[in-house]
Amino acid sequence: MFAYLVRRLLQFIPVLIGVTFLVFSLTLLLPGDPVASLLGLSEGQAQVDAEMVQRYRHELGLDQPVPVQYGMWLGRAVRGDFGDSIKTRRPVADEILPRLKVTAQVSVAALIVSLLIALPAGVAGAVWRNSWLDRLITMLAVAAVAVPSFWLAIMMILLFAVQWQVLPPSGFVSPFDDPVRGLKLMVMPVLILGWEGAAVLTRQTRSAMLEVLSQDYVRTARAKGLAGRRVIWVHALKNAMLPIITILGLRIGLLLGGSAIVETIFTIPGIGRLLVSSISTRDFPVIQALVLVIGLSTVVASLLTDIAYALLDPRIRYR
Amino acid sequence: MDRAENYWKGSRTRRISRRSALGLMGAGTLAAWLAACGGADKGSSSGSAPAPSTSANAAPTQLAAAQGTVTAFQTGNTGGKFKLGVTLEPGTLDTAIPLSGGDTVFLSTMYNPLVTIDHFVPNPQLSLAQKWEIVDPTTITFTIRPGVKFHDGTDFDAESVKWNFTRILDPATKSAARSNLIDIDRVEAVDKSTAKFILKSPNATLLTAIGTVYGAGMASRTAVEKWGKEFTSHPVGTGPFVFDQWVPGSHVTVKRNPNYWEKDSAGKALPYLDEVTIQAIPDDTVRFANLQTGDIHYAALNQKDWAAGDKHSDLTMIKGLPGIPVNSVLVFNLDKPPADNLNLRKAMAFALDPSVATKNVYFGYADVIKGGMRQPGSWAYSETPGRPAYDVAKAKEFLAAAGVPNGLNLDVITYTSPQINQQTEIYQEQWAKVGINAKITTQDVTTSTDSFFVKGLFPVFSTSWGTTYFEPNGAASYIYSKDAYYNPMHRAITPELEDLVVKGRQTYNLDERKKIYDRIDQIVLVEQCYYIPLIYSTGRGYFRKNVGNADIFTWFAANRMQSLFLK
Amino acid sequence: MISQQATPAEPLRSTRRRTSARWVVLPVRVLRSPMALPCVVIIVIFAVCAVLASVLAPYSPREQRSAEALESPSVKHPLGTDNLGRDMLSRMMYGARVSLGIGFGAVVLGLAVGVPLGLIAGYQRGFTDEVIMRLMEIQIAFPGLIFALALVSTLGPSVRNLLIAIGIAGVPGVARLVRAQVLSVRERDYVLAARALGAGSARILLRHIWPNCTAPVIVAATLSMGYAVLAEASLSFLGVGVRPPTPTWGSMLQFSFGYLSIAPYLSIVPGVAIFLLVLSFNLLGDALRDALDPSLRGR
Repeated sequence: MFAYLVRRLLQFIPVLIGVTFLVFSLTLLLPGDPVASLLGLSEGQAQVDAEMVQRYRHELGLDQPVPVQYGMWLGRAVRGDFGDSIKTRRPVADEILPRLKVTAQVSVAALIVSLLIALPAGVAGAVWRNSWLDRLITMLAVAAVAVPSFWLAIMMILLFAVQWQVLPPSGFVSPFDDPVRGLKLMVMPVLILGWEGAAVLTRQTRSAMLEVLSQDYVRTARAKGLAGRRVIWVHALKNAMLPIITILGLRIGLLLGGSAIVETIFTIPGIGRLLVSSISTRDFPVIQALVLVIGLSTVVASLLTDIAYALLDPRIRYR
Repeated sequence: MDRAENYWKGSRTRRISRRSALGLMGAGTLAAWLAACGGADKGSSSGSAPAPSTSANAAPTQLAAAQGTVTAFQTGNTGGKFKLGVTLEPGTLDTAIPLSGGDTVFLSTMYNPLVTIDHFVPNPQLSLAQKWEIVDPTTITFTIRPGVKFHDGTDFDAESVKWNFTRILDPATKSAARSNLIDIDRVEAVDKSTAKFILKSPNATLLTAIGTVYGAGMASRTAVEKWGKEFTSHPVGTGPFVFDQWVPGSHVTVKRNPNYWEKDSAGKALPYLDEVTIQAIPDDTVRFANLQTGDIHYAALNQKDWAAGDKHSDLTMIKGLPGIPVNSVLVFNLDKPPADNLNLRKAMAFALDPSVATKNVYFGYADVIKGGMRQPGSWAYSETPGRPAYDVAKAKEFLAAAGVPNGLNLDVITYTSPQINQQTEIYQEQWAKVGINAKITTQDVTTSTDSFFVKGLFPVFSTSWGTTYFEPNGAASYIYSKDAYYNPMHRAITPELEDLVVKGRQTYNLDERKKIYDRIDQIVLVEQCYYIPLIYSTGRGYFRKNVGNADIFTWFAANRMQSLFLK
Repeated sequence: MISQQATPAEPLRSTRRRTSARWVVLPVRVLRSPMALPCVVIIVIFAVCAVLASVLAPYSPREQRSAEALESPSVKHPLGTDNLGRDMLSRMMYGARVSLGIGFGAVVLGLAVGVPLGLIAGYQRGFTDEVIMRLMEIQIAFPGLIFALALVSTLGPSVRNLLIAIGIAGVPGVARLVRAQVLSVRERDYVLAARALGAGSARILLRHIWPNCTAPVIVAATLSMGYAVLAEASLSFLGVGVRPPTPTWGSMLQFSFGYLSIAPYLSIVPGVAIFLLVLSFNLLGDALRDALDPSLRGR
């Protein structure tokens, strides 16, 4: 167990370096002079402001060899210094932090919704395998991921907000500040984000449950006369949770990706919307920092998932 | 024309009639409208016409009345929370350094410019400066309204004016208004209530150039020095509302300034509203949905939603000014083949029938332009005889005259935006009919502007411009002169044009000025066929019916929120 | 490589004969699944439309008949016209070229990079494996859409860059899948036997190991086609898609939202097309999995 954790942590280090280097290298991929992009200048303006560009290039170490540049960039990144946003001229970190909280709230809510849909649906599918219910659930799960989420979002706004007027069309208020309005505003975005995850999780839950239900100890439990419901929900599901946790870990990254679309449509001030608006204003320092934040959250989530897995599953320890 | 003659008479005594109050607004709103309304689409606000702050715009009362949209200005109830939806969130709340025209909506709630432009004319009764006087062509004195205070309690006086303009003119500030104000040598505070502007050369555009919160609003020195770089999110001005909260990515909230200096015609203190929230809702459909459900009180809609907005029983439609924005412009690079040939430029321009785009892209809510880059309805406007207009026979004649009767290949660049892309595709088909085989390259706003104007990579740019300016020097100095950013040749187009641009700026007499700009348009549109505006539209805003005085808001009235109230 | 395997010619070796037989049986088995046939039909129809757009389309995708703008579906224009009077059916056909082309190209790119990486990692193990797998973890750190957004916003949007972005995002999945498969077969008797007989690594990989990896790779490739088509649509919506005047399903869908109140069919047509195509790829992928690995049936 301990050895496994150490190995996993050791593996984490090169990944961390790789992720940061990949994000750093976006600068190298920029067409034209990267300094101009970092300053938000067009090439023409950069020629006019050549002196400033030169000074900035030196300050950022962009006149140094690539490994040195990377080192300097990493040093600044570790201190939370990603430069200033081109659009707002404020430090990038100040732009990102408050939005990270918002995205976290929406993502956690979406994960909960995913689980609330997927666990019952997956278990039902496994227990009544090949029944009409199972087929319907499977069909819905496949169909759910075939609809572009932005299409779904617009349709929901037109129906629930404009047509039936049961939900506010867009916006965000933290449910901790104003529970009623906050939750109402969250319904549509969270359903759309959670729906996609539910589709994947349902399939995973179903196959994990099928696996567990065919195991001897479940059969034994049933044979011993334990009530079916208890066997399924306590014994079987507990064991089926392991692979589901893995998928949950991967969902974190996908949720952050999906938030770009959902946050843009529902005008939620999270990092997804910030990424999209930064791309349209070519706010490169913000784009770079956001990609880094998302990349890091994903690898950290996957590390934590692996650790949780190891703690929960005794077999891992002997590998 | 008497309005025009009043331009420099800072002491005029026109009573603020109900009607004239209808048209009030700060300057720079053209861009605000653009961004807010998407009359042109999202892209253009920050893009090909990056809100060059220049000119003030104002609603012509006469025009509004003629359109029958004016009703009496009522004294409103105090109180209420007003919400409006715009496309873009602000980049900054520092009046000196806005980045896109959309920022004006936000800035105008919290700041005042030194002079307020009313019906194309600076109105001293509605301005921080009560009076101004041309001492000599390069010296102008402003008398400052007494008793005005910034939101932080400090006094607004001649010293504040001097300090603000020194800040705006400092290149390090990067003020959006600076390029229009470089003729100012310095500002002196003669006494507490008198500020003296000393110019390097005569400048007839000075009042409109300072009459905007887009780069030239009056900010509190104490607050700027206290917050430093952070002033962008801690704005302090003299405006009708006091900054309350900015949630990036979501909204800005401002609260009533209880000590605001302006009163309505009944003597009641302005503003009426307790609170204004400006939300950035980028998606057109979602913004309209918010207006339909009453979650916001005002939004500017895209043309395609106008029919639905007109029909909606809870909404009132308010018409704006014609000519704002210019939806379609054809710009030629006179040094880049095949556009280096005058006959070919004319062939390209005469082959286009913009009325197809006004019908199919703008659903009839746009018109074909008959003049140059001057705003219809303003003192400066007149049509330009002989300018390119749809005429296939002529287009073919010009092709033949250029020695290519069978046509040619053409590289056209345009920028990403549904409407601009569609009208360019329409032009592509129309060019094909006379044998011009056009290949379209689409880039985002910034890149396309760079490719065409800075690098000179393309012969033709199919683009848009924020607005025609009632101040015609706008187009002249931004597009026609040799130093203009939007002159792809970076050289004088003709020596005469270059002289006229300078002369136009330095002539104080409006009749003489108008003649200069008539001649300029003749050169630009007919003799050189360089910058050809094709389509303009008349903006529209949509309000919930419970908003009082909505009709004075028109499209630009994002800048006149002190007169709105909720019924 | 796949097509080579699919040709049941020169059945020289036992392993080879076995795989050839499977390629004959496979279509039969797949089509036995009730959902598979309609899926195949839909995919084939869309693919034919895309490939033969220039022959089948009733109009040019650019031809504007301004008098016929915004017409609802009719005999003349089976799917209606857009606001410039362009025939929607023709635009959908040409759009299918780009949308399916990006999907297909991205999947091929993902396979071309992912399969060799997976084979090498699984076969060599040790340090090479570690390096490749860490690289894949790094790539996985960036969710597909975010990766594509970052890359396209840096390099600029074009069909090529979109294809690269979506394709590369698919590499780690393929590589991990192939590696797992290699690990499970590399110690099998026939591989050990081949090695004992002195066969080179390349030969063992290609002749003995790779044929056993094809099944899951085909399933994954089918599923990622659906993903790639959706990704194109999402990127179009976010404003980094293929630039006009090139029509794509994603950009047509995105554009149509503006006209929901005036012409709802404008968004129904591309919306339904995307949905059907993605659904078909997903269901076909499931059917393929069942057919290729009966032990998983119904899982």
